[in-house]
Amino acid sequence: MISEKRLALMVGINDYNWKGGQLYGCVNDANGMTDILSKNHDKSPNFHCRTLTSDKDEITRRSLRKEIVQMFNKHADIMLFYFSGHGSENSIGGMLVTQDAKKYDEGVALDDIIGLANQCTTIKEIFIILDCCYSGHAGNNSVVNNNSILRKGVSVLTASLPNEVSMDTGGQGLFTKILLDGLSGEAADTIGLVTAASLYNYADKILGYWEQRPIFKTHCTQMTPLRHTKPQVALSKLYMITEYFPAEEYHFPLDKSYEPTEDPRNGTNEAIFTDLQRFVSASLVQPDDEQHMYFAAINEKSCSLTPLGKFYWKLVKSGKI
Amino acid sequence: MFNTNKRLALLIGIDDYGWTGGRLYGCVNDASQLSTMLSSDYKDRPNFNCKLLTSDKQKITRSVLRKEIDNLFSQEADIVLFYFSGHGVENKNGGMLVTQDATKFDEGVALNELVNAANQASNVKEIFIILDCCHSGHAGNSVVVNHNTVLRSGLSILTASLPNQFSMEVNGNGLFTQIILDGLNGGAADTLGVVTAASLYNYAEKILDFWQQRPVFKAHCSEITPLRLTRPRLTRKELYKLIKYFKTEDFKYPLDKSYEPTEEPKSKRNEKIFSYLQKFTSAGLVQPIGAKHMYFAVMKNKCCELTPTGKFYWKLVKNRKI
Repeated sequence: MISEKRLALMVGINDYNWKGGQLYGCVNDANGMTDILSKNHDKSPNFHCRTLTSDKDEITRRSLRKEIVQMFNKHADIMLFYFSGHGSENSIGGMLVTQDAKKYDEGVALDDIIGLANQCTTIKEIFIILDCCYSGHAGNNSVVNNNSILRKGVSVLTASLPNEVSMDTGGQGLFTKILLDGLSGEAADTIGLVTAASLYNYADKILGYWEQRPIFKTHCTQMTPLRHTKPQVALSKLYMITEYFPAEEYHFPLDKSYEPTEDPRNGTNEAIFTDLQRFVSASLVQPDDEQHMYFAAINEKSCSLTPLGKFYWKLVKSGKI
Repeated sequence: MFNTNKRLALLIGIDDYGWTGGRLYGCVNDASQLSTMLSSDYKDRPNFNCKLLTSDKQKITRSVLRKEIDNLFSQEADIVLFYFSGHGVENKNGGMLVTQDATKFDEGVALNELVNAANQASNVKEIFIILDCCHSGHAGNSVVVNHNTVLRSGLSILTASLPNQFSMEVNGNGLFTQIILDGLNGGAADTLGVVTAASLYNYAEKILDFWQQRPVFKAHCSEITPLRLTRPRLTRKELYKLIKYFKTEDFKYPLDKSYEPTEEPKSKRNEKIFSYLQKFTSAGLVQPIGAKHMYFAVMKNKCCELTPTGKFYWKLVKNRKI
């Protein structure tokens, strides 16, 4: 399914001697994100992940910088960087805290990471996902009044506002738990695609205003799927939409032969009706002047495309999906 | 639904140009139709307080456009939306919105100027800039930072094409605006009928061909704000029933013949519940387990459960987020 090169670097740090103290969910977070991003719902490969966790690796300022520099030297279509651990801030911006953190030398500056991302010419699209305190700094630049600077193809998704603390609940970062639910399908569209924007929309809704506030920054020229989940309608079925509806505004006439419990019986029409019902349950088709398709068939009414149905009709018609 | 004093939109459409780029045909239409679309939601309740300026009614010069932009971003508002349909040009410093008094080397208002005004508008919480003109992809980019994009928090930009691309007109509308109109009319809406800048971009990006113009989306946001409400697939009241019938996210709701109105035994209460479950099914929130339709699930005493999208809305209702 995915012929492009999709790479991900996942980092999770629990073990800190730093004053911020030990964390408990970050290794789980990084492993959980690795599991979900490695494969699509049909087990086809998605991201090729490199995962560094503090239970197995020593993640120092030096080693993390090395990993990040090497990451942005790769040739790839998509690179995803994920970090779960402590974050800190100073008057210049935010930092990802490494295990060898000391005061005034806490780890890797978000400015450095964004700077490398913005300068990277070998990777088409870059997604940076941060579940740590003060992560909202990522992309902001003190030189331009803390507005954010992004090159084309860079998107940043962070757990909290620049001055906010992210929460670690029950062995998992709250934000990452939400991302995992979203990536498993709750943030997917009709054909099962989860994108950075749909994931942010999902997290934005789930997180209230009293909890941490996630941030989304993007500069994109397309919406790239981060993961394929189970579609509401299989593509092979979806392609039938233009067969059943020759025009966008077409009203498909129904009668009793479509409904399997009624006479006259008609196998072909019953099969079509099964597909139409599938479209109804994906909000693509609606019965006209009736509550249910059953009554539309019994009372010889019709059914038509919903606004969402017209969208997918156009995509199928023009060969975009 | 919304306080329109706090949601302001300025829409500009220019067809009449004496400039070398020549006359355009769809821009006045574009701006007028978008103004109508944004003014109210699907129930005719006010949405944006729109100010429409079109070249058939008044001369839109460089100084007029500048004054309007300055005025717009000086307002105190929750949301400000700026829309422009007309000619666009580019030079080494970026793109420009071409005004009616355009001359060579003095074509109109620089996109840099527009975005700087937006970045500095401290009395406005959120700003949406939508541009349907050639070279509009420059908006937000700055030569100072190597043509990367500089955005303040709360600013989103949707443009018809890449910095170096032209934007097309078809059948009396800009191609991009036509798509935006379809999206705002419901094509880009979620279960509750909400259209946002991100959903609108997703819609436009999918519809536009890679061989045609490529739209650009730039955003820096700390929340997703509705641009327009369209007809919801379910009302809030209906949606609230989700947690009544599904005690937990993973609950399997057992069905039997008493739920189906055409079957014995009859149960008014269960039939009512079933009508809600059917609505949830049509909105993609609930699915039968081990049966193709809810009808068969009932006949065979099977269960139904929440879909992934259903779990999303279940959580929102449970935690009183909607």
